[in-house]
Amino acid sequence: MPFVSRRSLLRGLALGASTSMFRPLLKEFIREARGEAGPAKRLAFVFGQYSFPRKYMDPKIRTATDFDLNPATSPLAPFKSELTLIRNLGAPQGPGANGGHGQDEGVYLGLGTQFGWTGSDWATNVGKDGTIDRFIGKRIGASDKFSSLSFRPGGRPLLPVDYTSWDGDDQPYPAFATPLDAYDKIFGGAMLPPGAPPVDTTALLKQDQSLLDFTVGEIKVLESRLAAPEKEKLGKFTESLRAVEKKLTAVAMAPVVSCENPAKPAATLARQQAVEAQVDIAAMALACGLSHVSAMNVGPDNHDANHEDAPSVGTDNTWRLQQTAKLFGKLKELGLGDSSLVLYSDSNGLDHHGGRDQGYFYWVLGGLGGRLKTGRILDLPASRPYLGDFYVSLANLMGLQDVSRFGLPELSKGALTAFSG
Amino acid sequence: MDAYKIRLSLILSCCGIIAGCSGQVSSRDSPGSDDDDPRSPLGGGGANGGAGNAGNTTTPAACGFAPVRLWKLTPTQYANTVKQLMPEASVPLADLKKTSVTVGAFSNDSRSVDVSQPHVETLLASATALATQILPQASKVASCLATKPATEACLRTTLTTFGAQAFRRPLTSTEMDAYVNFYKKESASGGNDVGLKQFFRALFISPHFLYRTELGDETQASGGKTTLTAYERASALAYFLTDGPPDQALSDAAAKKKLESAADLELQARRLLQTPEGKRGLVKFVAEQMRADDVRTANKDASLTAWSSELASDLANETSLFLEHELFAGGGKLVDLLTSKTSFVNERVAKHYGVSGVTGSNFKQVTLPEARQGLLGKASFLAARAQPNETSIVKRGRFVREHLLCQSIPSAPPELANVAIPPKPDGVHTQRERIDEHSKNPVCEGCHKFMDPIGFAFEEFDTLGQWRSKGVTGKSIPTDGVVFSNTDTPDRSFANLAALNTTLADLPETRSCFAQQMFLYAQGREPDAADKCTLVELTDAFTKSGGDIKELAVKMVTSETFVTRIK
Repeated sequence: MPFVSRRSLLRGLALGASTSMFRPLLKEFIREARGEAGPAKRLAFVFGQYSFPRKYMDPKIRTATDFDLNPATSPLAPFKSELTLIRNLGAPQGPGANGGHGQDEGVYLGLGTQFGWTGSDWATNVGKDGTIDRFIGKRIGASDKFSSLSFRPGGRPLLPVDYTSWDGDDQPYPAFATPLDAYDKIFGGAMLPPGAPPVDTTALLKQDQSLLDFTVGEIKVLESRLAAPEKEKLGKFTESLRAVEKKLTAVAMAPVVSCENPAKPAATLARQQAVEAQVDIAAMALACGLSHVSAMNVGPDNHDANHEDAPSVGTDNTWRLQQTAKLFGKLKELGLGDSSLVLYSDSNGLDHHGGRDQGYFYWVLGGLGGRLKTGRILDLPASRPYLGDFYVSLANLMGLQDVSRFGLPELSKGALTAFSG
Repeated sequence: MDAYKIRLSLILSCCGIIAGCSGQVSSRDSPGSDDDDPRSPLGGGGANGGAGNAGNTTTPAACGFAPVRLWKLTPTQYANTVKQLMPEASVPLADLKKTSVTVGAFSNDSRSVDVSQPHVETLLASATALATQILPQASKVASCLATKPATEACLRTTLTTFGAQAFRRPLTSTEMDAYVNFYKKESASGGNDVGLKQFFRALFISPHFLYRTELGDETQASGGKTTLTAYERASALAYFLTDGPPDQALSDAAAKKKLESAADLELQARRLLQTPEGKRGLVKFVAEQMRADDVRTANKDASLTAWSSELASDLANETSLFLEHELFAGGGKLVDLLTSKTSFVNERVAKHYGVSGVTGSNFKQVTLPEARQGLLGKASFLAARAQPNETSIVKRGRFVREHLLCQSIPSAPPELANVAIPPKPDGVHTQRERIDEHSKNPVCEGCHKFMDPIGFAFEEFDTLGQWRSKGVTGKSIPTDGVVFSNTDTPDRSFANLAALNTTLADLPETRSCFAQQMFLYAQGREPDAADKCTLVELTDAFTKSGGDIKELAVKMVTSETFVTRIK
């Protein structure tokens, strides 16, 4: 992925590269850095299926914040301080006609009641609000090129059960079946309305620095009239202002990826390569502001291995987490780690059969710049399902403060404050 | 909540009330306390009590005062302050609250530093958004701003009006010069719009906007003390009584030096308490003291389908309406908060309470049965102090001890973790029977005698705060209990919740606790031993007024403590 400096980027803009996809990315950066972003955070779901058994997932826990990752989850190690493992989310939806398991993220993400073949038709009771990725995407992504992105590993024609994202019962949201399909649809065409003015990041940064200098000057005058304990309050204020300045500077000067040149994937790829390419495409699309929400099933179809408790179940899950970590890592590289959440879960929970109730979990990568407590295991009490509450929290964190319920009323009591504060 | 418990423990460790629940509960066990006067939760005796009066700020010199200090606006105060400046402005209140970290029992504790990086980022973003909103209509802020570029005279006019309102005081000439020069510098490189935007951003991120200053009048300082300036008094009054900035009348009074005497302050306090903002402020104080909003996040078992976030929200609103009614249309006394049968219900709350004839979402005034009287009969309290799937005698009793009597109950030490754990619900034994061990085992009894016998009174209300004639076991529910005294005053037995409410309303400890909470809220700090005289003075006045809460607020603002600071 080619990198260019912010200065080079600005020179490029000055030379009239007005149809490039630099600008959406640049505007996104600057808006976020100046705190003007509003609902501009990124939310990416990654899914596996058929279970993530405890023996591969459970960390060695001393306390909620002092734990060793399970070797099978080692791809998450670089982000240990930025992750949250939420367990016992639970959801009481009954087993579908598939015997309680399958590729049914739709039910998981929508808090639906049933999914599967009922004998005469596909039962797609994904929940009245659709899936949470669509619920959020539709509301915050109206001006995005895609209100949300949905990816499948591909390999065969899509059946209803293969869809991850739904707008409601019988309303699957189109998924990209192959990386090339995704590339053409996401990155094809001009990204900007013609004549959009360029953004001068240097001038904006200078304004911010000047403002902060002025404010710090006011603080110093005020400090001189205070005794030590009260001075400390202003000292902390100055400290935070300077930290904000440092962040603004870092963002303004950070290298950025050129949005106009993601690698075009081959038409035919092996399954794992296809998923890896889709991760690259999702990261770029999210970074460039072409969408703010993504949902991706990464496969593989390892149903039989789960039945047999084959060792490949462990390696499959490790690989899935590699893709999850890669997606988060790419967003971090782009300076967007503080405004992105990448989540991994398995629509079968911890157990191929019967793991659905208290066995649901999410790995959450990202702390939204300190807004979330991270580096911890959050084990919820087993008193009731919390999955709906967790989705409400995600909606709130994405700027949808008015959302207090999602899905079935009995499954959603409000935000999961233990997670999102 | 933890900070609150710590606070109570600290206060009460000074006076030793329920000290360690040793079973020998007496304030004589307490360091720093040499009498049992129940008027003062700090072990206040009458030595200094009664010296003050409403007409003069005559608190004895031995009384404690807050230091010269800064007091950061809470997110709600920030929003109220912005709204006064720009009524149409959009304020990111939810983000501010989410990034805000406070300490203490009340949201407005002056010790809160509350400037974490995420919070400052939110404040900066808000400053930018507010400045951006001003620009297209800058002439509404000052008509002269319609002329571009802005002249120096116009900028000074803007600072004299809008700037002074933002800072809640006139800017000094040095500050004026600094802002004008800042505009000049910024507009020189970016033009008038950039200059003005920076000018307004600077006002909204200024420490003078984000903090209340209580620096005092340096020219009046003597003996290590100073008194608040007129504008600082105006802010102290306004943020205490309305949770917002001074209104025009208060600012005018400050400008005319009409906030100097206790009588001046009393006049303004009484006026403010009649305004919508004053009513909102006093309701907020009592609601925070009673943790009335905790019901919104009460965790209930999913099988209890009668519970919903809408119901929780309605129950919190019921309590607010009840408080506003009792404080301003009802008797306005502490006893009314505990014993009034008046309340306000909509269809959802009515159904929850078994009240017929109320339909729709609007709240209507009703008279509830005796068992539902007062704050402690409200489901907002009963549901918030319960387990997800059953009641909690201990939680409810503890809440009364801690929040109505200001008496700390220490948490069970780790070594007791496996001692006398009550049996789990078995459908046979009532909760009262299951926790019977608490009263038999001396290890438990020392503390639990102060909680459980109070908690018994609430057992006719289930985990959702719904009335029940029989418990899950099918047995009738005894609600009699005892408020054990920790002083020389006698224990008080009661037959049911209504009788407990009457008992609590009658206890001097309840009045002194309420006065202490008012002190905490008004002063934004913990009372310490030096504040004993102020607390006794407040409690005496509160008692003399028959427990009138508005009179207590007035007494608070006319005390010397309210306007004096230590340098």
